[in-house]
Amino acid sequence: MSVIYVATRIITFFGAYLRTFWEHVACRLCKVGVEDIRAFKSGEMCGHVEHEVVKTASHSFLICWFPFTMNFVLGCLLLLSGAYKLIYIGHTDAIFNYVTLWLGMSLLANCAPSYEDVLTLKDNLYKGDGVVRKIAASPFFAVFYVMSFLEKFGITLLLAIGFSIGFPYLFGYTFRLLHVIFGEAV
Amino acid sequence: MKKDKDLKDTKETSVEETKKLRKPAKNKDVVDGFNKNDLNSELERLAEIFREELKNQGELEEEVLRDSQGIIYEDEVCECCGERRKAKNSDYCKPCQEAMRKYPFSIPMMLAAVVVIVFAVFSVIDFSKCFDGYYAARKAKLAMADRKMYTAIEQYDESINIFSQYGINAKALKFEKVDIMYDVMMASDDILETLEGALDQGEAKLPFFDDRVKQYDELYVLSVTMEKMMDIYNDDAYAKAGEDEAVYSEAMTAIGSLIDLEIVVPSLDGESRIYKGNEAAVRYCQYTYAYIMGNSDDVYYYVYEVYKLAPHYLCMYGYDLGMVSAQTRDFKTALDAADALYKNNVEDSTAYCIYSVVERLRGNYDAAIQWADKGLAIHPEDTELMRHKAMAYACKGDLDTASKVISEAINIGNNDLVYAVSLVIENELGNEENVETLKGVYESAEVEIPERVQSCLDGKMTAKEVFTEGTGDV
Repeated sequence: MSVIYVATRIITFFGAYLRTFWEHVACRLCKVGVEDIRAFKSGEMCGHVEHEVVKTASHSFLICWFPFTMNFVLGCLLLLSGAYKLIYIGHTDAIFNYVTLWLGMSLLANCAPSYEDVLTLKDNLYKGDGVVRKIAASPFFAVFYVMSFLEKFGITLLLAIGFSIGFPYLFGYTFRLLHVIFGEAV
Repeated sequence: MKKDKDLKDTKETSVEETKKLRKPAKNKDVVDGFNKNDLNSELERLAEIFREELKNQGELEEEVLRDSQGIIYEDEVCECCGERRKAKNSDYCKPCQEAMRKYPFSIPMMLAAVVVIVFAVFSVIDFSKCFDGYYAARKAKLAMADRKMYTAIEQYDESINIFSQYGINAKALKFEKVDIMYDVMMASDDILETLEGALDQGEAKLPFFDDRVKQYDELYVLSVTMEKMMDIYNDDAYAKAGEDEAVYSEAMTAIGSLIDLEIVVPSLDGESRIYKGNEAAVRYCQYTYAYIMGNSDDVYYYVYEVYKLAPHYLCMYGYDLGMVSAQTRDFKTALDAADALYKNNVEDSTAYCIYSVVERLRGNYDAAIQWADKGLAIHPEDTELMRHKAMAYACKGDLDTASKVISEAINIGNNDLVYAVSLVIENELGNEENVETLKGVYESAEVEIPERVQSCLDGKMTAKEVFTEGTGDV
C-alpha cells in the first residue's frame, strides 16, 4: 500500500511537491512548528510536511483546507486549457495543452491532507462544545477523510484522471445550471 | 711475504676500530636509574592509592542536565535539541519552537509555485481568448442532446471557425459534426471537406481512425455516384427522357450501370483504393431521376429499394418513403418513417410534413393543421409545411385561411407545387382573377399544369377531393 502511495506521488510529483509547499505555508500562518519539509520520503508522509501536533480546531482545519483548496483551484485553472483543448475540442497539436493537462491532473491528485492531519482535525473538531461548528465543518471533514483514505491506495490519481476528462462537461453543466437559475444573464 | 703482513696489519686495525665502536652492555633491569622491579612496585603502590581514593569518593557522578529550575529529566528534555527543557504543552523548548515556526521556505518549492501560477494564468488567458468557441461548442452539444441537429451543425460550424481563426484544429468537434451530418445530410460535400480538415495523412494511418477512413471512402463513393447521375441527367442524349419512354429507360439503365463503375478514392491516409459502385447510392440516384421525371411507379419502387438496401440512409429516403407510403394509404410505414425522421432530428420539417399528410388523409384536419404548425414553429418559412397546412384548411372548408396561408408561401418561395395548391384553392374560392394570374405563371414558365389540378379547374374534382383522394396531393 505504501509502495502504491509513493509511486503515485512520484508520477504526480509536481502536485506532491506543491502540496508540501502549501502545507508549509499553512503551518507558517498557524504558527505551527515544522520538523521536516522534504517533499519526497518513503512512507505515508511522502508529499506532506512533518509538523508538531496541532492543538486547535481552526489550525487543524486550515492545515487541511488550505493545501486542498490551492491545489484544487490551480488544478482546475490549468484544466481550462489542458482538458478543454485536448479532450473537449481535440486539439492535439500543441505541447502546452499536454503540459497543462498533466500539471492539472497532478495537482488534483494531491489535494488530500495527510491521514494524520485528518485524524487530528477529527479530534480537535469533535471535542468540546460547539454543535454549529461541528455541523458546519462536517462536510469538509468528510471530504478530507475520504480523500485522504483513498490516497493511501492511489485511488485519488484515478479520480483526478476521471475528473480531468469530465471537467469540460462538468464546467458546461455548471453554466447550464447557472443559466437555469439566472436566465439569460449567464 | 709482504702480502701476509699487510693482511695481518689490516686485521689488527679493524679489531681496534671495532673495539672502539662497541658499546658496553647495559643492565636491562635498570632504566633511567630505576630497576624494573622498583618500577613495578611503584606502579602497584600508586594503584593502591588510587583504589583507596576511589573507595573514599563513592560512585562517580554522571553528567546531568540542569537549568534554573533544576534537573531536567528525560521526559522533560526538548525532542529537537536534547539540551533544554521543553516549553509548556510542547515537545520542544522555546528556542527550538521559534526556529521551527520560522522554518525557511524552500526556494525550489517557491519557484515551483510561481511556475504553476504562471501556467495557470496563461491557461486562463488561453481559455478566455477562445471562450466564444467553447460556448458555441457547448451550445452545439446541448442542441445535439436535444436532437436539434440543424442547430447543432450550425453551432459546430461557428465553433470550428472561431478556433480556426486562432490556428486551432478542433478535431473532436469536426468529428462530432461529421457524425451528425452523416445522419441528417450525408449527401452534402461539406461532410467530406470537414473530414479532410480533421485528419492529416499520418493520423489517418493510425488504427484508431480506421472507421473514419472507411466513412470517408463511403461518402466519397456516394458523392461520385451522384455526380455521375447528374452527368447523365444533363446529357443531351437523354434530354427527352421526360417525354419519351424509351429515352427514359435508356437513362435509367445508364444510371443502373453505375453499380459496375470502378471508383478510385484518394483516401484520407494517402492511399488510393478502388471501390465498386454503391448499390444503395445507385438506387437512390435512380429514385431521384424518376422523381425529377415524374415517374411515380419508379419513384415508389426505388425508394423502397433504398430503404431495404441501406436503412441508415434515412435522411435521403425517409421523406419520400413517408410521402409515398401515405399516398398509397400505408399509414403504418408512413408513420414509422416520420417517427424515425423525428427521432433522428426534431428539427427535420419532413417529419412534420408526413404527420400532417397522414392526418389529412385520415380525415383529421385539425390534427393535420397542428402538425404543420409544430413544424412551422421550428421552420417558419418552410413552404412545404405551409402547403400542407393550406391543404388541411381547404379540406376543413376554411378556404379563406387556406388562401392566406398559401399566399404567404408564394411570397416566401415559389415552386410549382405551391402554385398548384394555390390554383386549386383560388379556383374553389371562385377568384377568377387569381386563377388567371396563376395560369399565366405556368404558361410563362412553360410548365404544364398538373393533371389533378386541371381536373379541378375543369370542375371534375373539388379541392377537397384533390387533397384527400388518390395521392391526396397535386
